[in-house]
Amino acid sequence: MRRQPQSSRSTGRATPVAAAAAGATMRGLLRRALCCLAALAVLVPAVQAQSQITNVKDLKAAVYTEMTFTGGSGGGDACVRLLNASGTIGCATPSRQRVEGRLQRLDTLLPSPDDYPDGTTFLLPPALLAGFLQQCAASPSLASRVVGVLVEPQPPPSYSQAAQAPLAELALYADRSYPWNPTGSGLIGMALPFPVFLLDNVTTANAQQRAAYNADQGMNSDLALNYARMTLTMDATGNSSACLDAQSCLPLGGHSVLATLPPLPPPANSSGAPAGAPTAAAAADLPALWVLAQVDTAGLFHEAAVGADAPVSGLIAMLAAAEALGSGNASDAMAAAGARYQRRLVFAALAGEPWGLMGSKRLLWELSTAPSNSSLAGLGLTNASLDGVLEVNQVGRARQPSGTVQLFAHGPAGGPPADFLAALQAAAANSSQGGGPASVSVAAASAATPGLPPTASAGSFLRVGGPSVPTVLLSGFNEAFQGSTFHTQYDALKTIYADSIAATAVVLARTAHALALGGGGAAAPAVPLPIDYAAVRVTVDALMQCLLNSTVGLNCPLAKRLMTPTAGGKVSHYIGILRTLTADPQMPEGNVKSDVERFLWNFLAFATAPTPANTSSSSGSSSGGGAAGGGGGDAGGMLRCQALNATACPAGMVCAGSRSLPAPEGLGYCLNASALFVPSYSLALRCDACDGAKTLYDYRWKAANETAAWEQQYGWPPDPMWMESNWPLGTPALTLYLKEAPATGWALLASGLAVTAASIAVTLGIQWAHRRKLKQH
Amino acid sequence: MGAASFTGLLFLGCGPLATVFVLCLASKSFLVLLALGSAFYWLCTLLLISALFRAWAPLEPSPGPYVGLLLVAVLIQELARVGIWRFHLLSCRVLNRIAQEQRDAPLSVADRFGLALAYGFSHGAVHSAFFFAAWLPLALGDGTIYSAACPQLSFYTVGALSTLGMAALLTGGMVLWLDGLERRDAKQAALAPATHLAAALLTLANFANDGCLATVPLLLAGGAAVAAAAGRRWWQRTTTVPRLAAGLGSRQSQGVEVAPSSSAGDPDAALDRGR
Repeated sequence: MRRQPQSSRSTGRATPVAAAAAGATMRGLLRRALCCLAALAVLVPAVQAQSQITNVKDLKAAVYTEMTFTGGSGGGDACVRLLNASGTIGCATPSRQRVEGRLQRLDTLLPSPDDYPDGTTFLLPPALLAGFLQQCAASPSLASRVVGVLVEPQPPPSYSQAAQAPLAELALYADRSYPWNPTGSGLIGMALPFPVFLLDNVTTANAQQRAAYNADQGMNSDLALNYARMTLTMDATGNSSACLDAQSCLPLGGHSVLATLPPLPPPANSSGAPAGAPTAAAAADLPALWVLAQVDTAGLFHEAAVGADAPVSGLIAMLAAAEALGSGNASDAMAAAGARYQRRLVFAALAGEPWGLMGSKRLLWELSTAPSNSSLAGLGLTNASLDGVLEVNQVGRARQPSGTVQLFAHGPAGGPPADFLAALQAAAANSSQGGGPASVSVAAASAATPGLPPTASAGSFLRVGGPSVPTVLLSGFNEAFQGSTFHTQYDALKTIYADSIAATAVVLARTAHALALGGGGAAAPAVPLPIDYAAVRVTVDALMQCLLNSTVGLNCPLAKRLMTPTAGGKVSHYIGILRTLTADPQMPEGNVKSDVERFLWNFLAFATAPTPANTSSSSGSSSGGGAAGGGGGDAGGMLRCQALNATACPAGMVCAGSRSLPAPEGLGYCLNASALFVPSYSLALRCDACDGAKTLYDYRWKAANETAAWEQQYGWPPDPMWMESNWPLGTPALTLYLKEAPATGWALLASGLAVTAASIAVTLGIQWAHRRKLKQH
Repeated sequence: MGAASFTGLLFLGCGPLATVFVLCLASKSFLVLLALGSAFYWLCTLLLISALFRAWAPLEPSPGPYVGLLLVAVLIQELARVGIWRFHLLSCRVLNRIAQEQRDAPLSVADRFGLALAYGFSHGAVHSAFFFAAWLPLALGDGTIYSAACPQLSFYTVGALSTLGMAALLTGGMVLWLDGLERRDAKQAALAPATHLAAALLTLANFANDGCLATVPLLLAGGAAVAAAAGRRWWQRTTTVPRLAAGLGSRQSQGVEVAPSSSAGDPDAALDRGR
């Protein structure tokens, strides 16, 4: 969730004309304009053609190239300022004024910081960005002289923007410098006193032409030169505590989404429980096997980072696995065998994990507090019931050139728990059943690794639950992250494979099924999980379109059946800011819960809800409870409801699939599912008056220390308290334009005055002579 | 760019026109009203042309389509100029009748030149507003723009200079046109549409590299020449003895010295009386 009215991203007009001064378009402009001038013919009306200028607005767009900040893959974005307990990171102009500098492209880094010219905005290929920013970090004098940096989008560089040992302070092993991300450059953690913009493709071509023009002019300030004007005012300074006091920042935050299988029993004192729902006595004491995935990514340019492999591939695998486990086929097989899960599967899509494992930490804190005042009230989960953790992440590139999907099981120091590893390997061995890929392999991560990567959410559970909790991270990397795209904008849809994710989903589902049935190890589960690989693949493809395709986003067919996005379908995997919380944490308000969060919640609700046929235990309906069948699908006999009406469904049920459409089409369905929102924000913060008493834009965040003892108990490092600076309207903004030399303006003024004075003198002279002539007559 | 450039361009493109208005027209309220009414007429004409070409816009930026555009646009404006002539005749008749009823002298030659100047000024002013003043506020910003075909002059500068030339050409052309028709001098009358068309077609040279280096000076020279010719005609017709009334407004006065002694020293006094 990004800034809204108080500090919104610029939505400047799209630039229809690549208006470099030397461009062919300008030739057309001048010709057209002069012809019109001379002919007194046509003020050509505003029939738009992108490459031509038909009105004054187009002329302005040709003079000033303004970049639109759309984020997403291939879109332009700005590096903005974030704050934590110890200071700031990110970018900002040194003052509140906009800055501008001559445009100069760097083809190579200069050997000495003193070699760089003053008053310049540098246009860089991505490969040079890390080196240049590191030069700036090493030389404060250079950093103070740089006006700004514009980064071309391609080609991908050979470094990651994250640190080599990201989140090392959260590592549960001694060697905290272990380089999980060996190509890391640490750009994300830099504090830069100048603007840094990621250009989109159109602006890049324009900027390159303008820089080439400047180079042709020899960067001579006596001639017209192209400039970049940048606005990147950040309100917050100091650290997160200071900006909290000044109310100049807002916390990073969002909502994690949980869903359980089987559903949680309704509260003991409630009535109207749905038919077929397990009773509290029968189901409340089930231990929980957590299946984790992360939702958010990070990057120097937050909105441009898609996180296709890390972490969305894991998220998609978990969602697809949840759907397979909750399908009618699975429940029918279970019912036929008279089997019940001995462990409750808890699917958790955790928000904010790149920021100090914020989501899992907050979730575990909520689990540890009294249920009566927790967002998890009624969930019935306690630490005591924590019976295992299966996390999945970075599985989009697990497919090898040979076609084998190679997965690795990471565990605490000493390796993953044997029974979990055996269950994973058994599931992988059966991968070809149901039409799955022929070769899927799961191996224990190399003994050279020190333990769970500190970026894994499972580490939080291990920290709180203790070493007795079996914990596994299933991933496609072994000793180090694959490639160099971790936490960059280059971790995009086209870099991952759907079959890799689908194969992982099947392995995950079979493993979770076996473990939940009470088995484990290499033994086959008592009731095999029936899996239709083709259906899993369809779900994976659909989820990839919804969550990773920036063109489609949440306007995808699957999302349209489940919910109505409020942000035009745009998908962001940057957690963004959290303005407030809803009084009822489960209320799916679009102002507070992001589109992605609501999509995940609805998907998991449908994926884990028994179908009506299953609840009545009557027939072999196959997949009616799947997400793809939800929302507008035919779910005969199900109670209709409105999501924002808290009393819409009987106790123990949730209202899912509600959309912004006229009733009855827009009504949701009451599902016997346990889908929950859990707030994700710093434990060092408290939201005052988050009961709806204040308007959305009232500031309500305070520092808090209620959790200090709990954090100390489990050895959490100091909470980083991540905040994002506010910024004024019109920020960020980037404009490229050709600027005349100062002398030209004065010359024009002198010429204009001279011509006018001459015309006055001539007119007066003629009139005087004329009167004199008449008098002579 | 900025304030200095904006002011400079404004003076460059519109300064002489403003001078004509202030020094030649503003002192006579009738001429001011006539200029305003005429400007509205020219504005409608340009809007009509604009509407006609709406269906084809934007044109392919090549000489071919623009030749057609220029010919049609000039043709429509020249037809509109005929309307100005007819209105001019009508207004002269009305003013002369009023003068006759009030036992005043009919319009002098200088009066008629004043009327022609008002028509011409409005044509030039509307042209400038349409094709120069409309985008001039952009020059207040820092940015400028150059064409690859004309790297020597910015778009703003070319626009200001072209407007200056065209405004002079159109203003002077109207004076020559009306005077020529009044005196049944077809050659002189034809100068206005001919120079207008020539100037329009001249700008096609802007399609060529460095074409602006020819078109801008030629436009300025053409404008200056037409304005000078108009001024010369005015001088000749108002200072030659006997001064003739252009009698197309009243056949009886054709070829007859009509200016009474009371207005001999002040040729515009008739207009003042006719208000």
